[in-house]
Order: sequence, then C-alpha cells, then structure tokens
Amino acid sequence: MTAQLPTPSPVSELPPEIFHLILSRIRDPSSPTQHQKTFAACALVSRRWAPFAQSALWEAPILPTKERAHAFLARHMAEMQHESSPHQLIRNLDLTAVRFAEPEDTAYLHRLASRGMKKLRGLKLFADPLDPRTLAFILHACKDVVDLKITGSSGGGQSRYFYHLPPVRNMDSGVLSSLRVRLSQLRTLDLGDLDLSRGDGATLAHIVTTSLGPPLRGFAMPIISTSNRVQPLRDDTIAGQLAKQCPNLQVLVARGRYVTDRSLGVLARCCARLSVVDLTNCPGITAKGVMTLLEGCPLLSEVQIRGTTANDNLVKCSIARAALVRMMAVRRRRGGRIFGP
Amino acid sequence: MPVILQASDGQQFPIEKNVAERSMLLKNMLEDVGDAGDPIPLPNVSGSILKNVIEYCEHHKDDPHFAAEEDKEVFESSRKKPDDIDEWDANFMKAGKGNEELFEIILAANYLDIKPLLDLGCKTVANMIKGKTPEQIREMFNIENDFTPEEEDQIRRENEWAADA
Repeated sequence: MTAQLPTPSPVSELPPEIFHLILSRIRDPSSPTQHQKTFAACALVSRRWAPFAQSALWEAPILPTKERAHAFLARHMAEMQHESSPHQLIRNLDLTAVRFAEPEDTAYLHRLASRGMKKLRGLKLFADPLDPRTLAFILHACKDVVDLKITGSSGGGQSRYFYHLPPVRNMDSGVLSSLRVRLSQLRTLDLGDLDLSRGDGATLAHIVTTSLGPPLRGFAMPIISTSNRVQPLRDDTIAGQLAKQCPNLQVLVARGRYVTDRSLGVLARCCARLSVVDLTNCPGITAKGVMTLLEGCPLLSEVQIRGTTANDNLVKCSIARAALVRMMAVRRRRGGRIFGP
Repeated sequence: MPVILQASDGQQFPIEKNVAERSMLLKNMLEDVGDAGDPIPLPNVSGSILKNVIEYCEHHKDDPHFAAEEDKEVFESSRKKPDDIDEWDANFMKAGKGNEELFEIILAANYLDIKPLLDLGCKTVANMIKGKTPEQIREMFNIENDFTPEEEDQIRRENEWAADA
C-alpha cells in the first residue's frame, strides 16, 4: 500500500459486531422514535452501512401515531412481495395505533398477515371487533409469532354489537383446531385490554384459556364482565385452567370480580415460577389468598393488590419483604420485562 | 512484578498487573501461562493506541469487575441508557483524538476484550451519529457515497415512515 492511495475510512473496517453495538447505542429511551430517524440516515450513508442500519430500523418499527402507522402499512402493502424488501426484517410489530374493525378490514388483515414477514415474532393489534377466524388466520400465516397482544373486543353471534360477525361456536373445526394449536405455542399473550363481554365472547375466552400451553410465560386476562347470563366461564375458571396448563407462567395480570382466593390457591400450587402477579381491582381477593400465593411462589417479587380486599398491613409487609429478598437474590435479572415495552 | 506489553511497532510498556487485568484477554493469558516476565506481543495494536488504552486502564484499575454473565447482558442489551458517560471518560475520548484514533481504540478494546472501553467507544460514536443527516455522517467519517441514485432512492422510499420524525 502506498501513501498516494486514498486511505479507506477506518469506519469501514469495523467488524459487524461493533457496528451493531454502535447502532444499539443510538436508541434513547427519552425520545422513543428519534433513533428511527438516525437509523434512516445511517441507511443512506453507504452500501456497507445500509444493511446494518436497515436491520436495526426494521427489527421493531415504532409507529406511535395513526398517520405514521398508515404510511408504514401503505408502503408495506406495496413493497412486501419483493424478496429483498426490508419487511422481511421485522421481528416485532406494534400496530395498535391503527384501529381495525371487522368485517370491513377482514380482507386487509388477511393480506397484511399473508405477506412474508418471515421473522415476525411479536405482534400487537387493535381490532374492535375482531373475528376469531381472522385471528386464526393471522397466527397461521405468521408461524413464528409467540408474543401476542390484542386490544379491542372480540366475539360474535346475535348480539346487536356483533350481528355482522358469525357466532364463535359456528367456527369451522379446522380453523378452530389450527387456532388452538397456535395458541398453545404462545410465549406471552396480553388480552388485558380485550373486551370479551359482548356477544359470545365468553365462548372465545373459553377456547383461548383451554388452549394455552406450557410455553406460556406471561398472560393478561381478558375483560369478561357477564353479570346476567349463565356463562360457562368465570374468572376463577380461567385461573384454574391456566395453572394446570401453564406451569412455566412467570407474569400474570388478573382482572375481574370473579377472581377469588381459590384462583390464587391453584396458582400457588401449580405455578412455582410466578414472579409478577397483578391483582389490581380484583375485589374478590382477600389477604388469605395473597398470603397463600406468597408462600407457594418463592420467586414472587411483585404483587399489586390495589383495589382488592387484601389491604392489610401484614400482606403489605409480606409483599415488600418478598420483593426485597428476591431483589437481593437476583438483582441483575430485574428489568427483564416479559411483555414488550 | 510488572507486566510488559509490546505493541506492533516494538514499543514496550511495563504496567502493573492489576492494570493489565482490565483486559480479559490479558487476564486469562496471565492466569493460564503464569507470569513469565517476557514481553507480551500485541501485533494488532500500535504503540500510540496502546498508550491510550493503558491510560484508560490505569484510571479504571480499581473499578469492580463485572461478573461475566452480567457483562454479557449489558453487552447485548439495546435498552441501556446510552448517554451516561462519565466525565473523565468523556474527556479521555475527546482529548485530541481524531476519528481514526477513536476507531482504533474501539478495535483495540475489542481485541483486548476490555468491555467498558469498548462500550465507551461505541457510545461516543453513537452520540456523534445521533440526529445527523447522511451527508453529515459521510463527511464526519470520510465515507464515500457508493450508492447508485436508484438504490439511494429505493432505500429513501422504504424508510419514509421513519425519516420524518
């Protein structure tokens, strides 16, 4: 090499892992979308920079506003069929900003799911209402999705809210079994903001809870407030089923007036790995249940009891003590949240 | 007993053992081979860069060592605070160092396996890139734009949703 040759920029000699490390340092928690702009700029620097910046940018697109999400989806629909499209890089996709409603958006959701997001593992959707058949289709098309969050409502049948969605119980048996298989593979399922009280949503809740399987680490219960009709499913039933099928559960968000100490008893017996349990606004819970849970689950570090009847000092002290012991034992594990940010 | 490091250009640096042990590579080497007293050749690191690296290690010689596992977690996590650079570290990175030197320090830290220094270097570069336009980045690091106009346009359109923050 002679001195006359233009020296290559030292930045082009950096090995890929250092490139990734530098780009990972660009994320800034205080302004959650600013890094995307920087990644987009980096992608335009040179051929060598482009693939690193593209994968950093597309791994988990953040689409906080409706406009941005729509712009993203428009591009998505137009480009995705190309093999080289960066949509292939998406691992986590949060589309909560887009308000889907079926049956108007059914065709759109089908097209969206069937266009090769091969690496997709985490999906967040808003749909009000959502047809469980569409959910089955999405989970079938996106085979590697293991983290799912659904917001909105679901159900079907003759209710005035759902006259346009066919009843859940009429679901084709092939579709139903495919839905069950995929649900049993999920790692986290967040239905905390999904309303299943209308139509025959409770039937769907029953299908979901009886399908969940051993891989499940995190679960947030759907909203089911059926007060008048006789329903096959009470919140205690959900917790009971969950405990039997999901021994590896670590995070549980329970909601509803039918969650009682009985649920906590079953959980304490079956789910030894529970570390976070949120019982906010479960008036059926008493101090006795919480103590049972604390005794049965040695890894518990966080229990929320606001809005329960377990508000006595002994319980609070025990919770604080459990949190402290756990914090000292595995301090560095803290912050490993199971639901995405 | 000092450890002697020999840079690629033959320069030798006698340093204390606990300074050398900031580098996992040297730490493991000293544990395996024992202290023979011979100079340790570092063919990938030049004398001027090694001097900088030693300066950093001298300053941080009393820092607690991270557990290996924890180190790995910090290393791989993308959600750590990116901006919290210690004042001495910030000055160390700034003091008369060009980009070339900065990248060579990063490479040396990578080679010698000094995680905190590698991390510091990457944070420093990340902070330089943040909020810049492609043109500014190219100019800063002396990078040639080797895209065809079509390629450039393609990427620009793909990323339109992210660019207008």
